[in-house]
Amino acid sequence: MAVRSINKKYLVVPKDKYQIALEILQSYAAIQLEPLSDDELELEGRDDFKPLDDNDKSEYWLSNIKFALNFLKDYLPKTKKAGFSFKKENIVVTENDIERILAEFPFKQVVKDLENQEKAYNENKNVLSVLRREEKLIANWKDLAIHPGSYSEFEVVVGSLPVQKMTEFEHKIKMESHFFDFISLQEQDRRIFGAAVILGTEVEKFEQLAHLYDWQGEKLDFKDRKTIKDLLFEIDTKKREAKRKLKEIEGEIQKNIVYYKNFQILHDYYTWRTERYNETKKMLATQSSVVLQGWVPEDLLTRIKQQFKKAMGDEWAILPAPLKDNEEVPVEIQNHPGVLPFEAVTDIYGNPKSDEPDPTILLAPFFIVYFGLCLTDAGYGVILSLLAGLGIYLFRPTGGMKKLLWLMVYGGAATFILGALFGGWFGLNLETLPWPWLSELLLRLRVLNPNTDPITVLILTLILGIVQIVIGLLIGFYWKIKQKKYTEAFLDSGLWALSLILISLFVLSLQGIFLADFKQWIIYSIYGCLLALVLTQGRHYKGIVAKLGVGVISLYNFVGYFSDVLSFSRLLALGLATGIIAMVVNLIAGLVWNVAYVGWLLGIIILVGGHLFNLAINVLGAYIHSGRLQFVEFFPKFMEGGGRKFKPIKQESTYIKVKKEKDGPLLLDDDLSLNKDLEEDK
Amino acid sequence: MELGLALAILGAALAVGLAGMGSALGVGIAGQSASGVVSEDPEKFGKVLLLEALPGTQGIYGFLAAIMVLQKVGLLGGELVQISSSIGWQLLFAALPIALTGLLSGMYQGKVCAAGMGIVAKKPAESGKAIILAAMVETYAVLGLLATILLINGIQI
Repeated sequence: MAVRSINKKYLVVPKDKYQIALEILQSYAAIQLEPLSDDELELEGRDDFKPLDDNDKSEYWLSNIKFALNFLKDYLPKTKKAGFSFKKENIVVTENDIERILAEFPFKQVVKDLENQEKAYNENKNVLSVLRREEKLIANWKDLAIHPGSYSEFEVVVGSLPVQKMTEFEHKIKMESHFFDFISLQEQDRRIFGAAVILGTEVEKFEQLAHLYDWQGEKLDFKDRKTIKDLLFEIDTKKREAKRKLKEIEGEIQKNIVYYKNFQILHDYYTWRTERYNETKKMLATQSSVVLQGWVPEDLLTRIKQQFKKAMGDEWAILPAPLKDNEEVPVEIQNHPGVLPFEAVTDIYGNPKSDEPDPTILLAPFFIVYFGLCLTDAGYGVILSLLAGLGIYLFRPTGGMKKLLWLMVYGGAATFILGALFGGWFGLNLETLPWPWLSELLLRLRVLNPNTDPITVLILTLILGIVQIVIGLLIGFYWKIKQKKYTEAFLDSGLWALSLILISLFVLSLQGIFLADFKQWIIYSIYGCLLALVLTQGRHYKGIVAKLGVGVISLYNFVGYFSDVLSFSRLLALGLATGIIAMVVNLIAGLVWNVAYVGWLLGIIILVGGHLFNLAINVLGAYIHSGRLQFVEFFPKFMEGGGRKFKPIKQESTYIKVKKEKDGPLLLDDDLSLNKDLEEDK
Repeated sequence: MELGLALAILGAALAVGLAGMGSALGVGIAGQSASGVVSEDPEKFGKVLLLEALPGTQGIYGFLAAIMVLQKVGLLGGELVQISSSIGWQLLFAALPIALTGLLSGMYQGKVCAAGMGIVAKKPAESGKAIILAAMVETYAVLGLLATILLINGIQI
């Protein structure tokens, strides 16, 4: 419900067990390490820090595992390959499973095999494509009974020429038939392929002549005298052989598919391992111990201490570390599961600073009302909730997507309520529904019709704006008091909040709605506030003139607050837009309904498509504009934001989900007896 | 009499036309950048599509204003209302806020979206910020639409 309490700590662990310590910290996402240097911390008996095992190779093996996964993916059964990319079905494993796989699965050997198989496969693929090219080239002359080349008295050349030049060419050849003969074989792509038999001495003459007719000769060089048919047969045999080999290799690759799941598990395991290895660069070591420096959430400390005690006995220490000047503490916000979806809004803006409030729960009620106001269609609300719920059910999203979809479920509910109150039902005209009872029911639910009475809704949105802005200022007031910044609290937040409240009261009394008899008193109070503002807002400046001058200029802030309030009028515009577009969709569907035979079908298509389109575009609008009202109009009243995000070292999973075992080797959850020991230690 | 109707239609036409032009320009500019991002990383298609679609709303606002005008004068089914040329002028002017704000805010929102594609490409986790930056420009089209709606609602026929 707030910003998580995170403190900087030193962790000292035995050198031979630092790996276990790091594993524990990673499995709880318990620390964001800060690089530690010798200038920061002078260690007695400072020693070089070398990783203990082949950890430095984990990156190499990780890339090998990635290769294996990528390679095997193409051979997975079709059904497994299909599906949406964001649909994630995690493999649930225990720590024991991972250890068993590490012990039993010779993955390094399998990776080598796969590499060899890939190489062999590619080689055969190449052979095959060379053969295919060759085949394609000579197939044009496949009916030639003799092979091309030189004979004792004549020469056989092959080539092709355009169809349209053929007649003329043949005519010419016939005229010189004592020198040449031409055998026409087949036509392909508007060219005639053939062979010419030329008297040995006249080759040059033929070339000159043929050139005139766009003859393209092909040099086919045959070592032994075979006909083209023989040659094609030979190529075909070779092709068959290559294909057979490919099949064979594929079969071998298929055999490795059973390891796919193992590789997925190893992928995640090696990812964590690589991350741990990378973190070791931030540590310092002495001959016997390793020192880590990092940010640790307070709420995890007890658990970490338990685990450390279990793994390392008493040979460790967790000590508070000093903050550097102006060092920014990393921030993480934590909220009740019910409020969690609204973090999707906060996350867009970014984290608050570590000494600022978490705005999530504060913006939640406003955001959800604004979201509903931007749509104000009960029918759309139901559909939105259902679609988002279906999305959650089908895709089981995690992280940001899960928050967003739940936010849409909430938003749909708010839209339903506000839509019913404002009489928005798929843009239908409630007065003319075919069922009078339904019409009566829905009209009874409607308390306000924004189409005929937009001004009332406009005033409503402006009231919401004033309320939220004043609440924002009051939050700022409360927060500054809490931090004991009393001057800022009263003068920068309190006074402005009071002024805005008084001005609102004045407007109410002017309309005779509220406190009408105290109008004069309210006016005097406003004067008092203005005077106080003029006197105090320039307090940071030197000299009486500057102080008062800045004080007067500060009154200009009222314009800022005024425009903030006016900004909320967008809620009316967006709400009206949804209703009117829905109406237009119904109108167009009604027009095509009368088309003969297919009218009803077209009508249904337009209704479904049109309303979904309207829903999509307006949900987007509702989300970003309701969000903007928080970021631009609300947040600056009490926070600056821009806090550094807490990024602990953690088990980032792509494929697996680790189920912690009660009696697992390391990660034993709440052990009460240990807990007790720790209390005593303190 | 007939001039009144013609002026009202001109108003509707300007609302759709100018706001639509704004959107077309905006979506066009954003789309060019979007293709650049997708060519590098096709998986970001969903995110860039969302960003590209943002300047599209102005066209819809314009269309909406046009429908309101047409409905007011009875061109959309129902009886055609006889309106004086003065009412015609009123409707024409009432349509101008969304027509003009739609044109310019669509165009400039497109530019902000195009620049925002860089955020999607380099820091995909921060894409929401690109959307909010773009939404700032849309504010003025929303206000234009609001003015148009209130004006059309207020005109008595």
